Amino acid sequence: MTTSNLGLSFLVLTMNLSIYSILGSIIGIKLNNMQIKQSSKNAAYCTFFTTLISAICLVYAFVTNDFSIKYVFNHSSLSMNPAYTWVAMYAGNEGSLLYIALIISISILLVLKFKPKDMIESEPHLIALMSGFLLFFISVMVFFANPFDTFQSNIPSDGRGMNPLLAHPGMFSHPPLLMAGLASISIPFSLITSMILTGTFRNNGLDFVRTTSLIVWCILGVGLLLGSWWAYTILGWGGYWVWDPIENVGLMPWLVMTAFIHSIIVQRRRGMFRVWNVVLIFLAFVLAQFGMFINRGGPVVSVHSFAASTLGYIFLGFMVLSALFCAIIFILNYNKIYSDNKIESVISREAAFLINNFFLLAITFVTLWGLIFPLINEVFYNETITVGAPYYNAVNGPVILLLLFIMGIGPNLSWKGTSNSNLKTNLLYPSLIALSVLLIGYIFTDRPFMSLLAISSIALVLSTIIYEWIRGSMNLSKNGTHWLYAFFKLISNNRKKYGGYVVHISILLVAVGVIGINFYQIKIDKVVSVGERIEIGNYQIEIAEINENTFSDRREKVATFLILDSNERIIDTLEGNNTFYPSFNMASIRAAIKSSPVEDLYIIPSDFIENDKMKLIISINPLVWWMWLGGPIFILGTLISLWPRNFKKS
Amino acid sequence: MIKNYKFNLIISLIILFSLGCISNINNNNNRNYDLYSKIMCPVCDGQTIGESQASISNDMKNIIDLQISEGKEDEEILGYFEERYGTEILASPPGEGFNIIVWIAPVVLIATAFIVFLSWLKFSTKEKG
Repeated sequence: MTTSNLGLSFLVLTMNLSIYSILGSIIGIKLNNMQIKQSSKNAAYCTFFTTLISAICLVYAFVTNDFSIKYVFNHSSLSMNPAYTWVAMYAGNEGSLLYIALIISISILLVLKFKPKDMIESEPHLIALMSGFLLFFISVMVFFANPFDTFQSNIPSDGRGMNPLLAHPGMFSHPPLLMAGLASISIPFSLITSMILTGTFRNNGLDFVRTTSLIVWCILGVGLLLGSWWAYTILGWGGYWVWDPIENVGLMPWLVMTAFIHSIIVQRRRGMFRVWNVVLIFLAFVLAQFGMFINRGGPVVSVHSFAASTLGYIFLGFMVLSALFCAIIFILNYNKIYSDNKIESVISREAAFLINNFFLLAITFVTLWGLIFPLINEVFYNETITVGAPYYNAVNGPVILLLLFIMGIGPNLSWKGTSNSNLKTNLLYPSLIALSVLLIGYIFTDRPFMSLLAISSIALVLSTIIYEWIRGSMNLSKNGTHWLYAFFKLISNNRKKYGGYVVHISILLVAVGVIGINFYQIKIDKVVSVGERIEIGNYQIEIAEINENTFSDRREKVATFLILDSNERIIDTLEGNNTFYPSFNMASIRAAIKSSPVEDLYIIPSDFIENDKMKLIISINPLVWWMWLGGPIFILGTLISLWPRNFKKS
Repeated sequence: MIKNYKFNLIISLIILFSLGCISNINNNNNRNYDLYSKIMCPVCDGQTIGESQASISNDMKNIIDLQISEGKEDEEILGYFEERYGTEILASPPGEGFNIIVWIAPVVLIATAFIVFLSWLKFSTKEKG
């Protein structure tokens, strides 16, 4: 039996298992038969192992260069760096579908394993929903996009190779995390839908929904940030974020999930916003399917549609079906989810969460609108237009700024607005700090006013958090405990809240980087010969040498730069490369970056003109370093928030 | 419980923020690059000429450099390319004709939605207390 046969057989097996588990669950619910329910649960468990075997087959085929499989032929080659054969599985449409199926099957396994016991009532519904989702991807592979399709004759001896733009260390982290995040939105979606269907959404399981949502949201967020970092290190993807359609469809579900993880807190604490939370999770799920459609054959142009296929209509159909399904569930069960608790004050934590949700959805709407407007224009006006970065920066920029500002106020408000008497003391010093930052910036610098507003908002948020930490720690250390111990105690006493604050800080760090690069960047481009010096900021740059290496699949030109400070001392040597792949007629250009918390010196060897002459794009990108630091802090904050209480306390 | 001055405060803050946003957003301190990032590469998928390595992009960059040295305004330079390649060459559509909708709709909708949302919030809280 060949690898391809084995892989395909297990795909078909997974398909049958998921059909069995869907039908079994439904029949089990109708007959209220425990044995049938249990059997369909076992089938759902099994899909993990069968999908895993298929995935292993595909990876094995890549690693062993089995070019009899068309997908391997199209995305791998003998001359390719062997490390990438391990991940080339998700370099194209078919294989990435298999990867997504694997993620869904892992999700099924984990959810069934860690689900709290009191959610037993909604379990069959949950299994049917998640198996249904898995079945969709498996069937698309079996009937339309088989990753194990083989050449019947004339088996090629070498493959075409992976798209050169994907040959980057980011390939190991960004695509798998992003796809995992998008696919696993199905977990909170299925949990909530199954609870609605069984009428158990009122009380149980909210903690579990919150936990899974936070994990999914964290994975998606980290995936997005890693994508930004990847785009930053090379030329062609717009620096770090260019509001490209494929970027946008990943961002939108994350924004809606951000709204969701905030408003789910209100439901847990106050029993409010049930309807709203259902709307949000449905929206996040449908937007994730929308992303799948845009990514795999949507009608828009993008700089990175690596999974493009002719299957767009199938994913469009699935998205429409998901939306209809959500609408029907929502309408039929509206009475079950309606909550009658009302907001008691506009100046309350609940209201602040709603305002946060409002702005998050506003950003989502602007992003969606910019994405689909060219299509509207083409249909009604028959004119092709581009809606790109300048539009999003101008329209989304202000909304993001407002959101940042609310991040400083919201957490200081009390539930129900009952004890807002502290509000003045909580906000007095932070507002003073923020205002003085704004004034000092306005009077003493000629920086753009919007950037000053953004920085002063950041100062506001940061100082409210630090102020609260200091006061909390001081209270706890009154009896003589060391302040550092008191600080950790403070955080561990209310992990959910303080973990949230740490995440807020990480968002601030990302914002600092965005401000640095969008407002304070200095950029020049110049044709430079070896030995010549150019000055930018406090640096002098000299090309020390240009080396050319030829490989069987690529020609690599590596430029070595000497970086000197204003006193003409050499402070660093950097390398940037410009690699040309003849078979793809494509160049991959890697920047030379000297990074520091203050600023990045960023050199792109954009073009080699003669043997000793090249065109450089040089920029100084202030504060970008902080954006990448935001990533680990973001994960840390989510972990603190998720960390279970220890048994002694409970 | 709610006093009007708080709403006024919110409104004036929003106005302050919006005013701030009129100032230039994408400021490379380099006029050439600002223009490069406002023009799409005609032969690439979703790249501006600032990002693209296609030879036509380099030609277009040279034209921009030349026109800047001739003392032309940004509007004129963008218009020059729009005339030759159609509106899709611009990284975002100009706020005129049918395309004004892409700019206006979000502003109008978000503003309206926010007013409706605030009055709903006010209404539903007043009802209670």
